[in-house]
Order: sequence, then C-alpha cells, then structure tokens
Amino acid sequence: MAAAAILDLDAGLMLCVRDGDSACFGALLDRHRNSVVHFLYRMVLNQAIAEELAQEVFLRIYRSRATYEPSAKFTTWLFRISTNLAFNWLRDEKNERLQESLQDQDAPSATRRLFDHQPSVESVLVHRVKLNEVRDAIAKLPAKQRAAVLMHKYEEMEYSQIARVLGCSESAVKSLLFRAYESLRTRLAQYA
Amino acid sequence: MAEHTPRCPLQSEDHAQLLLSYCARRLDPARTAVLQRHIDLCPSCRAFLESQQLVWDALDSWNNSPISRNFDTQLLQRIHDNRAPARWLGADSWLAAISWKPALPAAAILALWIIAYPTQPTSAPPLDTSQAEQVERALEDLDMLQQLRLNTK
Ligand SMILES: [Zn+2]
Repeated sequence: MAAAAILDLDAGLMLCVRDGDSACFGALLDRHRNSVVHFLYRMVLNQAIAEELAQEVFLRIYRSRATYEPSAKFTTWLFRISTNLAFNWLRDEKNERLQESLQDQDAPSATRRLFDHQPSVESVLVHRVKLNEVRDAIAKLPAKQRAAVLMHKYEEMEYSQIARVLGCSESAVKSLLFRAYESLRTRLAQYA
Repeated sequence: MAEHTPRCPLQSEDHAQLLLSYCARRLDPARTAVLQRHIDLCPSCRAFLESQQLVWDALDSWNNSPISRNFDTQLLQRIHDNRAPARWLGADSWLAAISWKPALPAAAILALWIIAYPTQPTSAPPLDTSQAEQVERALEDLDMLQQLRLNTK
C-alpha cells in the first residue's frame, strides 16, 4: 500500500515535470538525491566522482521529461541510469587506476565523519581498519555483484526490481547476490 | 561457516535468498516463524546466519558521507547552461521547492549569479556538437525507459 503510494508520488512528480512545472523536479531531486549519490559513492568509492555522476543522472532524467510515461517504476529507471553510468566509469581502465589511488585518500575522511562524538584514538583506529576492510571487500566484487548488493542492502530493493535495473532475470540476481554475499562472508570473516 | 556440519539445502543458490531475507528482517511473520523453527534445529543454518549477520553489521557500519552543499546549485547551473533560457525562468518555483536549509550560502551565490548573468535571447540557436550529444544521450535514456516498460508488461 505504502509502496504503491510512493510509486504514484514519483510518477506524479515526473508527470508534473513533463508538464513544465520545474518545482516538481526540485521535489524529485529532494526525494532521491541522497540515495543516488550514496549508491554511486559505494560503486565508485570517490565522493567527488559520485556527485558528478549523480548530477549526470538527474540531468538525463530532466532532459527526458518531455516524453516520460509512468508505466515503469521511476526508481527502477533512476537506478538503471545510475548503474549504467557507474559501470561505464568503472570500465574505464584509467579510472580504475585513479580509483585505487583515491581510495586511500578518501578513507580517513570517511572514518573521521564516523566519529563526530570524539571517541578514543584506539577506537578510531580500530574502526578505521574495519571500515577499510568493508570498502576493500566491496571494491573487490565484480561491478554487477557490487551493484546488486548495494541495491539489496542499502536501497532495500526486491529481487524483481534489481533484475529490472540490471536488465537480467530474477534467477540471475539470485545468483549474483548469492556469490557476492559468499565472497563478503569469506572476506569479512574477521570483522567481529 | 561450521566446518563439521553438512551444508543445509537451504543454503543452495536457489534457496539462500530465504536466509538472506531472514537476516535482513524482510520476511513476513509467518515465514519468519517457520524458518525460525528450522534454524533452531539446524546448526548449519545458524552458522550461515552468524556469518551473514557479520556482513550485514559491517555494511551497516559504512556510513554515508555528507553531500556537497553546492550539489543542487551545480546541477541547476548545468541545466541552465544547456537549455533554452525562456523555460529556465520556471526554475524559480523549483528553487522554492528545494529544501535549502543546509545550503543557504550556495543559494545566495546562485541568486547573485542569476542577477549577474541575465537570460539570453530566446531564439533557438543551431545545435552545436555538445547539444547534439545531449540529445543523443536523452534518446538513449528514453530507450532505456521504453525497455523497462516492455519488461514490466
Ligand atoms: Zn538449515
């Protein structure tokens, strides 16, 4: 019931954007900006690039407004564009090299934000090590498995929706998630 | 994973989603109760769930980073740079709709920017290369939407 209402709201807002009301685009941006940026950040592991890609996602949504029809779930379309942009970025060999060097730069700031409440130096260090383990484990997953896990865990998407975003069958998603979580269980076995 | 316990069939690729959903607390109460009874009797599934719970907790610890304050301003600027100015005027209502509380300084800069760079003539200029690329990309995105539509039918 609630999910249907949310579907109607997004589709309604997009129809309103199609009809020329740009305030509705602001509302859509407010509703989905965070999830798109955070998803892309976990895909590319760099905040600046994630924001750049997220802007491209919303630009594409905006440019497609004139011919929008609400027959597909809005978030499926939104995440399909996001995922394709992330895959393209990750596919670029140059970007992969940059990614490796940026991962190291990014980690301390991400850890710092976890500890606004001024914990002990020891607990900061322990948590930083753990956070790096999580990031490394996610980074080592193939891109499609990574996207599937991020949509399953953080966006709480159903298998059927992940399948539509990735353009594959539900059984393929089952397989992707099965293998991804198996790898993560092995890699994060020490994370206790 | 328990090394001495034979792997339960529930952990096969076809059925593991049940255990994954249980760990994510996304099963309905009836299925949760049935699975709980099985878990109480199955050391292999208990071991599986313990290790999956570690993964879940680890992913939970990966907090979101704050988004740049000028994210909306930059997006707005990119839209403005690439579209006909007459319609851009409609963005006033969009600006009002966005929650600006965390981004007031950016909004102030944007306001000054709008004053400093008034809208350009309304006659549509010929498509340059970048505009042509944008049109192409927009068409690709529409194709994507069309495909989703066909898949959901
Ligand atoms: Zn079992």
